[in-house]
Amino acid sequence: MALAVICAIGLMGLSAWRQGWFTPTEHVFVVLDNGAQGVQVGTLVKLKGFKIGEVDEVTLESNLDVNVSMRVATEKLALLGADAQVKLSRDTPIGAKYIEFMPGTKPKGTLMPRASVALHTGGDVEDIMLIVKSGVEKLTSALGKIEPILDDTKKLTGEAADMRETIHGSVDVMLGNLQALSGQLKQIGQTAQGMASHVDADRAVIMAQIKDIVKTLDTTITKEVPPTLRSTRIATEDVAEITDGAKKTWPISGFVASDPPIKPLPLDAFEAKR
Amino acid sequence: MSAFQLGAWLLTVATLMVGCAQTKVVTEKSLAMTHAERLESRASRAYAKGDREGAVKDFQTAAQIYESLAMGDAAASVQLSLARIDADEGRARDALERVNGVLGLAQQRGTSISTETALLANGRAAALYLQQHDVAAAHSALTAAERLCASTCDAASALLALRANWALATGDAAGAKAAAASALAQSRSTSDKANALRSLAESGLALNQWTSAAGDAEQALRIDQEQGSALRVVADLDLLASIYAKAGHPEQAAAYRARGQAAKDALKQLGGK
Repeated sequence: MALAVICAIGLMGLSAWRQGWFTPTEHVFVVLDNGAQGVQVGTLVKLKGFKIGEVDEVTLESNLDVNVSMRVATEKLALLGADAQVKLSRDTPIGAKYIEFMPGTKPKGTLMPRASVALHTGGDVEDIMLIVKSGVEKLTSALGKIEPILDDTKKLTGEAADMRETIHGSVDVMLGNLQALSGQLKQIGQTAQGMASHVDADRAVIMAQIKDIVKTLDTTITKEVPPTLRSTRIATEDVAEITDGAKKTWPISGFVASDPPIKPLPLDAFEAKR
Repeated sequence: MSAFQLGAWLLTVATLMVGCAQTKVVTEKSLAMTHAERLESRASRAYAKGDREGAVKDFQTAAQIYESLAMGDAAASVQLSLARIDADEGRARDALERVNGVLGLAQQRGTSISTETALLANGRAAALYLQQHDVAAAHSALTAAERLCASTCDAASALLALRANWALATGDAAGAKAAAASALAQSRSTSDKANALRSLAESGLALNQWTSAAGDAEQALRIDQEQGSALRVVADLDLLASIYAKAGHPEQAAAYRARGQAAKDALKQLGGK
C-alpha cells in the first residue's frame, strides 16, 4: 500500500516536472488591438520553433484591446532582446495558432520580466499568403502527377497511329539486318580462319609456358612433398613407438601378450615341386 | 558412494593387483632392431597375402639392418625367407645361392647361426636340390636337417614329406609311402597335411594303388582349394589326371586335365600368383 502511494506520488512528481511546474518562469505581455485572433489560455509561445512558454491569461481591456499574458521560461527570456516582438503564426493553414517570438537584437539589452512586447504586424497577410502558397503547392503537385498520365496517353495514341507505319518500317529494317548479318557471318568466318592461324602461332608460346609451369610444379614437388611425406612417416613411426611403449608400460604390459618371436618363412615340402 | 564409483575403485584395485602379480620381464630393444623385426613381420604377412614384391622389399631392408647390426643369425634367417620367394618365382639358382651362403656362414670362424636357422637352411637346400633332380645333394642336406630336427622340430612333417619325395626320386615307392604316412601323422599345419597327402597319393600312384591315391589326392585338392593355393591346386589336378589315366579312366583323366589347364590359364592371367 505504502509502496503504491510512493509510486503514485513519484509519478505525479514526474508528470509535474514534465509539465514544467518546477521550471522558473517570468511573465511578459502583448496587447492585441484587433481582437484575440484565436489566442487563448494554453496557446503555445515559441522561439525559433521551440516551445518556451504558453499563454496563461487573456483579458479584454476597457479600451477593447486584448491583453495577453505569457508565461515564458526565465532562461529562455535571456535569449530575447529588449526589442523582441511577437507575431501570431501557425505551421499549416489549418494548424493551431501560436505566438512566435522574434528575438530582436541583444545590444539593446535583454527582454526584462513583465515587459510588454510589441506585436509584429502583417500576420494576416502572411497567413493568407501561406494559404495561397500551400494551395499553389498542392495544385502544382497535382498537375505534376497528371502531366505524366497525359504524356503517356499522348504517347499511346501516337504510337497506335505510328504502329502501322512502324510495322512496314520494321520489316524493311529486318530484311536489311538479315542482309547485314549474312555479311557479318561471312566476316566471322574469315576472322575464325585468321584466329586459327594465330592459334598455330601461339601454340609454341603456350607450350613454353606449360613447360615453365611443369618445371615450377616439379620444383615444388621436389622441395615440398618429400618433407611432408617424411613428416607423415615420422608421425606414423611415433605413433607405433608410443603404442609400443604403452604396451611395455606397467600394468598394461601384464595384460598385453608379447610379440611372437620372428620366424623366417617356414620349410614347405612343396618347395621341391617347382 | 555411488555404484559407479565403487565399480571404478574395484576395477583400479583389481588392475593394480593383477599388474603386481605379473613377473614378465619386458625386453628393451633398440629402435633399429624393433624396426627390422617389424619389417620382417610385415614381409611375412605380405607373402602370406601373395604380395611377393612387397615382401621382398621389406625382407631386404630388414636383412640390411640386421647386417649393419652384425646380427648374423637374424640376417641369415631373412636370407632363407628371400630364398623361398626366389624359389617360388622360379629362380632356383638364386635361391640355392642364398641358402648356400647361409650354410657357408656356419663354417666361417667367428660367426655362428642357430640350430633352427641351420635346420631350415639344410631343409630348404634339400628341397631345391630335389627340384633340380640332384638326389645326392638332396640326401646330404636332408640328412643334416633331419639330424638337427631329431623328429621334434616344427619342420618334422615337412622334412618327412621331403624324404618321401627323395625316396620317390630314387624309385623307392614303398619307402616314400612310409615317409609320407609319417609326415601326415606329424603334420601340424594344413599346408603340411596337404603336402603329406599329395606325397601319399604320388607314392600310391607309383605303387599302382589307384583308389587310395585318388582319395589322398582329392583330400589334398580340397585343402589346397580352401587355403587358396593356386599352384598346389594345379599340382593336385595334374596328379589326379595322371592317377585316373593310369587307372584306366580316360574321361575322368581328361576332365581333371582340362580343369588343371583352365586353372593354369587363370593363374597366368593373374600374374602367376
